[in-house]
Amino acid sequence: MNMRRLQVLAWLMISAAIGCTDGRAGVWSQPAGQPQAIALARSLALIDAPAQRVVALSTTAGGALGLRSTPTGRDVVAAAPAPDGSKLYLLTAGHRATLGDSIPDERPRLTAYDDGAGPPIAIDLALTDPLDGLIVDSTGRWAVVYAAGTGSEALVSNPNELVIVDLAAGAARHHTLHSFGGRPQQLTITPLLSLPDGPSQLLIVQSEQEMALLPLDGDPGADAEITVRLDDGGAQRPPPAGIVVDDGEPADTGDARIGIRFQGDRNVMMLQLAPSAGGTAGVLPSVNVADAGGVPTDIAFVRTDGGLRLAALVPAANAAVLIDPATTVTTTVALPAPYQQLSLVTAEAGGTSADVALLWQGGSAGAGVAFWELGQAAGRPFRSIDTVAVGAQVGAVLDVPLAGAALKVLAADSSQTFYVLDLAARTAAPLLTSAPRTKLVVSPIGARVWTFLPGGVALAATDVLTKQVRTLQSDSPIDAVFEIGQSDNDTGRSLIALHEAGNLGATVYDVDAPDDSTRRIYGGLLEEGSDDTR
Amino acid sequence: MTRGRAKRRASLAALPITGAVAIACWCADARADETGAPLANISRSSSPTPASEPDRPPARSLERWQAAMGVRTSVVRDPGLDPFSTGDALAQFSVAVLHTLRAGEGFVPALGLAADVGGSSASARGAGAELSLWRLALVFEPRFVPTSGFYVGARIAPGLLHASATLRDPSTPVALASSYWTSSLDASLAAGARLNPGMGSIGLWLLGDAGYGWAPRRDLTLVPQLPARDASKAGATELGSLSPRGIFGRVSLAVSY
Repeated sequence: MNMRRLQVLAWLMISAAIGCTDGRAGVWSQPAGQPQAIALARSLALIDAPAQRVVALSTTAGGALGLRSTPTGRDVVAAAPAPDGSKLYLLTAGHRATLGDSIPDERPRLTAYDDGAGPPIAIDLALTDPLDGLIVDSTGRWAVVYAAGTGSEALVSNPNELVIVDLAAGAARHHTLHSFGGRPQQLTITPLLSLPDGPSQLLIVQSEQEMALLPLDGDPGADAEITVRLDDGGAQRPPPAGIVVDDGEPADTGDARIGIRFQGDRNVMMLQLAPSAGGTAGVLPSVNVADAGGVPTDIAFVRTDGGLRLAALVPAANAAVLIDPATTVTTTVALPAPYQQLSLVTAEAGGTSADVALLWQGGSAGAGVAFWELGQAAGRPFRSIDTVAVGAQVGAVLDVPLAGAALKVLAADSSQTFYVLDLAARTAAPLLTSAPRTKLVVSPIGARVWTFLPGGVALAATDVLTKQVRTLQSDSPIDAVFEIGQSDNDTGRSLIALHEAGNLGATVYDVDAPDDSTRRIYGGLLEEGSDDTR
Repeated sequence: MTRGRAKRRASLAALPITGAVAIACWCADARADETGAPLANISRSSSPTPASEPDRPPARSLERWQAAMGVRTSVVRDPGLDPFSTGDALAQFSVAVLHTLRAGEGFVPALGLAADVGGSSASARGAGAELSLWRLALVFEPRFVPTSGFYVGARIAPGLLHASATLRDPSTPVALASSYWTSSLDASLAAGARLNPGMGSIGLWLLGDAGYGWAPRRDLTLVPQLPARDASKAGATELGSLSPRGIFGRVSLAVSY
């Protein structure tokens, strides 16, 4: 073969090589990993970070699974759903392009993705460097973006800078906390409170050494922040472990209160947001500190026949303590077990003027749960404490948001049993599982409890009213279940059992008629539409 | 479109021309090697003069059947190929049988059948993805034979294309698959050169053609491969759409008799 033939062959090979390279979108070479799944009202949002997209899975009455892929900004750092499931909020860090960069410049932003077919709405946070913390309040009106981590790559960063986003208006404003050297540890947004300057939600920011209260509604301005020092006469207190809020009488604009317990500290702090012409935002908080007699594990504002009290559970003393927030006078109530958690169940348990609290996590199987009626009886600061023995230590109490039903689901710590607690009849119906550590998911409408063993193929639906159990079989290991509304049927609902292996699979069941024969099996969900966002 | 991609596309557009020119050069070179003279001289010497008649093998004019076997490489830039291939190339095994309607030099039409079989496989986000493509086509190839042992032509090949896609993802216990039939059309420039000139009635040929293959875009709707009694439980996964069209080049070896 002479040189000319060699040249021809080389020419052919080079041409072929050019044609055979660099034609594939990069996403196909990146495994999907385990995307974060967030249930919305009528879809299940999967955050497919490698593909820079949100995949919304929706179902129809026939069990069909629809998939809608929407591009996201670069580098998703936080995600949160709207409380009503109508939106998904994604916080993205963006990208800072250098000269010659093939990726365009992109600023940090918060984007709202609609549960339906609406287009995403981006909210510019006016940030040059990203923040990585996001909370959305329980009313869905406000979001706060803050520095949750400590690893900012910015040359200079301000850990006390907050971006407060009015989600209804799509507008963001910046606020820097008055700091005495601390940085935000936990953020809480209260329900609407009656405050001297008018009703407003409060942003409560806990730092190591102080607590900041910031009215959100109206246009409070930068000076509206109320800072409360948490130190004890110069000695620093432990970080806050829990905060509770009470609005007091709705007509009274000066009786909103905040209760705080601290990590490993027997003292509890109570703040009353009293009106004062000289105070910030018309408020001058009055601070009271009381000794609970032991380290409290849970606190709550409760209404007793004697008025408002801060109830603190002190398991070390097998007791609860009622603290008068005005006088800090304490009343100890002996409990039958060292309960560590409480939640108010007044309306469901038939309470009237005084609250009823459900006590749980009693430290032993026999402790079960207890109903603590806070009305006064002769010679006692409470009306009654009724124990419902459930034969297992209750590790968690799950709400059942079923209209007209007064029910809770009691999850046992390590037992093969869970219970449906009837708050009105004060009975607990046991339901047995074949293995410990099963996962319980209460339906968003409260009609049933879904039970599955992560990694297993069995699934059960328990009707909370009739206690009827229907077991279902999956063909792939189940890692999570989500119940959502059907997109084409206002009253229909579907269960999506997710299989996280590979590119995510799903089995769809009709919630109203759960049956193995009508299940629909889907695989490779994150393969679908992977290329659309290129 | 970026400047780099435009440049690359221009290079790709030149591929069929490149192939045709290369084959022509190869053949010319072969003839030159054989006679020790340039192609132009060969053409002159092969003109029908009484002096040259006795040199032509008499059996060659009867070689009207040709069976070819070779390799076809297509460049499919459609994103639908991305799950199944890390590049844009799609290689297929290619066979063809053609019959010329007359023998001799000059304009010689040929008809026949051709088949391409092949596919591609790749890891698509960690899952095994396979694509198989079969094509069966009628071939109409008008040829120009300037001299015995060499021809150029244009090939038109309408046909049927069968595509089969399979995805093996651990998220389901069975593979997801889809297949369909559709129409296809190839148009290419072809050239052939006999590798054993003057050596009996069976000819050995090197063939090449390059052109554009077209097939309509079709959705790839993959469903779990469940037994018939469970078919109602299979939900569909949409893997986009596939349009297996693009420029191609093919090199074959053929025998004629």
